[in-house]
Parts: sequence; structure tokens; C-alpha cells
Amino acid sequence: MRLIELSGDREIMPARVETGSFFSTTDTEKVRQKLLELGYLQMAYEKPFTQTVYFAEPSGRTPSGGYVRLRRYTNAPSATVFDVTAGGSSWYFEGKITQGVKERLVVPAGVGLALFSDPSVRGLLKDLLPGTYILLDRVGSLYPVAATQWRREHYVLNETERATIDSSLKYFGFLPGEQKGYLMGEDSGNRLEWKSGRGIIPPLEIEGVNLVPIPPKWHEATIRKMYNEWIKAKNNE
Amino acid sequence: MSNQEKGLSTIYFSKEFPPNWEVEWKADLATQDPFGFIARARDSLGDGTFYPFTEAKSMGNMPTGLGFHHLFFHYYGHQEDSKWIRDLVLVQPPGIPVFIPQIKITAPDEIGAADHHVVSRVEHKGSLAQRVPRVRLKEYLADFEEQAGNRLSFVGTIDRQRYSIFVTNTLSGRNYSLLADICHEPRLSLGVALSQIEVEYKGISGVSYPSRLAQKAVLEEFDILAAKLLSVYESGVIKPTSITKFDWLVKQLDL
Repeated sequence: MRLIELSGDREIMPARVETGSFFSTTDTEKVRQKLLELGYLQMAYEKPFTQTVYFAEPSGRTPSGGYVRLRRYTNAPSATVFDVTAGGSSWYFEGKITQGVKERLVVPAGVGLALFSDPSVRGLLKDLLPGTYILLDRVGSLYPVAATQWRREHYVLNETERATIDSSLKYFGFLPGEQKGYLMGEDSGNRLEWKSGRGIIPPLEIEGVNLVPIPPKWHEATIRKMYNEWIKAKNNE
Repeated sequence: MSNQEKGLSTIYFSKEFPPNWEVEWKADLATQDPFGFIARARDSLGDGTFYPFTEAKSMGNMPTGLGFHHLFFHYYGHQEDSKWIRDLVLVQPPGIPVFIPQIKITAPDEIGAADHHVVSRVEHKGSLAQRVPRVRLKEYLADFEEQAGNRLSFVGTIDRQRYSIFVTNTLSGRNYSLLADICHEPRLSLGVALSQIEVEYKGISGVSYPSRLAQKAVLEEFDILAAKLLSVYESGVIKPTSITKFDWLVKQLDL
């Protein structure tokens, strides 16, 4: 393990008001058109897919008081099998300690997995990611349990108002001890998020589109529920 | 060691501009996600998207990687014909009562940098040895005013978080830093932010020396790299700009 490849950072996220809604994939074009009508410019990155891996103890327990995960940006989405160790885009080890503060580290996949599974390796984080180190110090060995993947389009109105549309939302589950995840579900809806630096988000209505607000903590709760059902079915196979 | 061996050795690293010369190209980052931009750019540099540019793993004999810096920049200036002029920047690491003076002077554009949409200027950065403790700040500013002959006014502060990687042109051996940042003025709403990317010339691997020929070559490389960036992010993620952080600060504070 070469420490020189590790570089920690502690980013304080801008205070923005965010709100999110689901809508049917069949209405995606209507939502895009509405944003363009409102003057938003559409843009996409060369690597538009975001992949995130979540970890837990074999008992299902996760670090409390924040989250720790692996994330990467790619243009090679996974179809039915999600291989953490497959080459391609770099993985970033991310810890979110308190609201608005994120710590990140570039890690090769093997190092990232070791930081989760082997508590004796975590000492490396003490100086690099002090907040994340404290989070991880409260739990034992962690293993990949679930992963998410979505394709993000960015819409920008001005310096403070932005929106994103996430599509092709997929969820993968990992069998205990495995580094490969298998498709366990896909969302039938896409996700619209509004971000405002001015602290005000006007209510959005799009004719003929049913925008269903995303409740707080929906994402975590959905992954947990989906995984529990998926692993139960796998155990019964 | 022969000159050729010296030239090929990566422990040698030369600047082709005079000392303190800063040469950079910049663009607004519309998505305001400097980490997301740099993370993707690192991978694209690795998969050949920006050929002949790739991520540099070392600068001279110094290993490099993804960098992150969080700093405060306190701007001081004066007004001339109702226009604000930047005189002095005091750089402060968060939570540390020490300031490092920095002065940037736009130099006469003798190399035609403007034709390449590149800013070239002389930058005098204070070293740690020149740091000013908070208790001596008033005295330092009074001395500065006396020497500059201008009455200094505090303009504002920029809270800057910046990600950086180093990029090398594999054909020429020239190195650049690719930076993406997000800036706030603490007195404004935290969501009002300026996000920019910058490409900054760092030096050439091997032995070289300042020359007009080399400087022209650097400007041509800026053209190539800027064109590649604008082509990869053609949907508008980045947009070339000449707005400085000081200009943005003055505008946002409505001064």
C-alpha cells in the first residue's frame, strides 16, 4: 500500500436548499422541456454515471452519526453485475460526519475495501480523515452490502439556481463476503432535484407530470428495505 | 552526468518564465461541483481523452496526486475613478491567526498572452518567513499604505476550497496544474458562490530556461489544452472567463 497515493480533504459543502421529486420515466422529456423553458441550460459530464457502494457489519449495523461509502464517476455503467474491483474510474472513499462537511480520499479499490473490512488498517485515516476515522472506530469489519447507480444531467439557471435529473436508477445487492453485486431493483421513476443558494425554491408544477416529493431519508430507507427483501429471497433460494 | 542525461532526468524541473511569473487560463464551472469536475477529469486524463495530456504523477522529483486546499483570502484595495483596484491580498489558513501577504501585478503583455485568452502576470507571494501575526496586522497595513502611497480599504474575504491535480503534456514534457474551486464571501449567503477552473503553467521536466520561443510554445499548448477541455465539456459545464475573484467580490458586495 503506497501512502503517497492517498490525499485527504475536508470539504465544507455550500449551504443550499435542496428539494427532490420523483416522476415517471415517460415524463422525462416534459420535465426537460420545462427546465429549458424556464431558462435552464442543460449540460452533462463526459462520465455521467455515479456509482456508490454502501457498507455494513455482517449484523447490518452501520456507523452512526454519519456515513462512509465508496463513490466513483464513470461512463461505463454496470448492467446486472456490479464489480467493485473492476478497473476503470477511480474510487473515492467518502465520509460525511456532520451536515455539510465531507471528507474524501482517492483510493485504489483494494485499499478502499481494506479500510472498511480491516479495522487494523484504519489507523491510516487518523490524520487524513479525522472525522471519518472516528465514525469507523465505532464499528467492526464492514462489507459491501448495496450499491446504487444513476445517470445525472445538470441544469444551470444562474450562479445560485441549479437542477439535476437522475435517470436509469439501479440498485445492486452484495451477498455476504462478495465483492460483486447483483441487480436487485430498478426505479420506474426518475429523480428531479432543485438546488438553490438563495434559500428559496418556488413550487414547481409541470402540466401532465405527477411530481412526487421525496421524503427525507427516503434513499437510505429504500436501499435498506430493498436489500433486506433481496437477501431474504436469496437465502431462501 | 551529460546535459542530455540531466535533461531526461525527472529530478530536473525548469521554469520557462521569469521567477514569480504566473500564466493561467480560466473558465467558470457552471455545475459548481469542483470535486465532481476534478474526479472525472482525472479519469479522462487517464483514459486518453485529453491526449497528449495526462495526469502527472510527479513534478520534478516531488510525487503528486489529488490536492485539496482550504484558504481565506482577505482583499485590500483602493478606488480610482469609482473602480476598485486590488492592492494586497492576505492569505490565511482557516483558524490560524497568521496572514501571508500576496501581491499580483498585471505585467505588460509582451508575449501576446491575451491572443490566447491567457492571463500572464507577476505574482509576489509571501513566504512563511514573511507571515504577519494578527497582532501585527494593523502595523503591517500602515507600513504597506505608506510604501504604496494609497489609502487601503478592506474589500472583502474569499473563502476558497480548491481541488488540484497536475497535468503533463507527454509530447513536450511541460506541466500544468488543473484546479477547480468554489469560493464564498462569508458575509453573503453561503449558497452564493463562484466556481472556476484554472489551468496554470508550472514548468518543464528537464533542463530549460526562459526564452520567448519557449513562452510562445507554452501559449500554444494552452490553446490545445483549452480546446480539448471545451470540446469534452461542450455542453457548457465550463465557459472561458476573464472574471477575477476580486472582480466577483466587488460585484457581489455591490461596492
